[in-house]
Amino acid sequence: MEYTLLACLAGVAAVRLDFLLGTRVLRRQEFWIAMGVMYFFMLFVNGYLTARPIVLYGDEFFSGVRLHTIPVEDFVYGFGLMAGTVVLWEYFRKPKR
Amino acid sequence: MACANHPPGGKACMGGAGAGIDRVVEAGLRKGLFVMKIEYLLVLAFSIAIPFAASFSKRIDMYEYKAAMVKAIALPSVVYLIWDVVATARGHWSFNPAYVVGIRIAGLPVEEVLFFPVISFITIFTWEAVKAIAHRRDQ
Repeated sequence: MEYTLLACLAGVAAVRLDFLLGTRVLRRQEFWIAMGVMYFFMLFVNGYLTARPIVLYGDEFFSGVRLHTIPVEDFVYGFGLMAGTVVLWEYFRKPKR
Repeated sequence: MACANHPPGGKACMGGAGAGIDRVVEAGLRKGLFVMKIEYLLVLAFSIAIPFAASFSKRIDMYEYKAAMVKAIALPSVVYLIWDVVATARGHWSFNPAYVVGIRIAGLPVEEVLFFPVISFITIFTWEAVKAIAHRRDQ
């Protein structure tokens, strides 16, 4: 369950980063719409990667729960990456405005 | 054979439609064909193609903040790459050699290294596109 734990830490880290940097993107409706769009396409891309499979997961490192072929941890992992990117983008973009 | 490179639990080993595709891949690999090995690269290319093309839209101004773009793509990518190197080494996940070109960087296929900047770019584009559409509605 190492991956489960690390994915959760990444998800929490992105939420914390949004708070610490004062970007507050998680409060914005556009953020959740953008995440919805990203998750929709993630179903196809990650679904393809895990169905072929191009990427294979070690059974002992995750919960074993999959949405079709995608380990549920991937959605939390993806949240950390995508939310983290949006937070940093908003943070670094600000000074120029 | 079909399952030689797959750890236990690999879905393609369980027959069904995947098994037929695997046999085709193996036949291709035996003949020394390269084409199927670009499959992970193709997934990345298909993923980024439309966002990249649309990012030049007049309604998207993300290239006016190039330094921010570089930082917002590089930072999460580096963090996730370090994670990926360790996780791959520990066996959290592995990559099917049939679908990667075979160039490895710190134990990761080059496709996996590219995955993070690709996803970060698409994320920034999607965020900007949603904001642009939402803003247009306000006007």
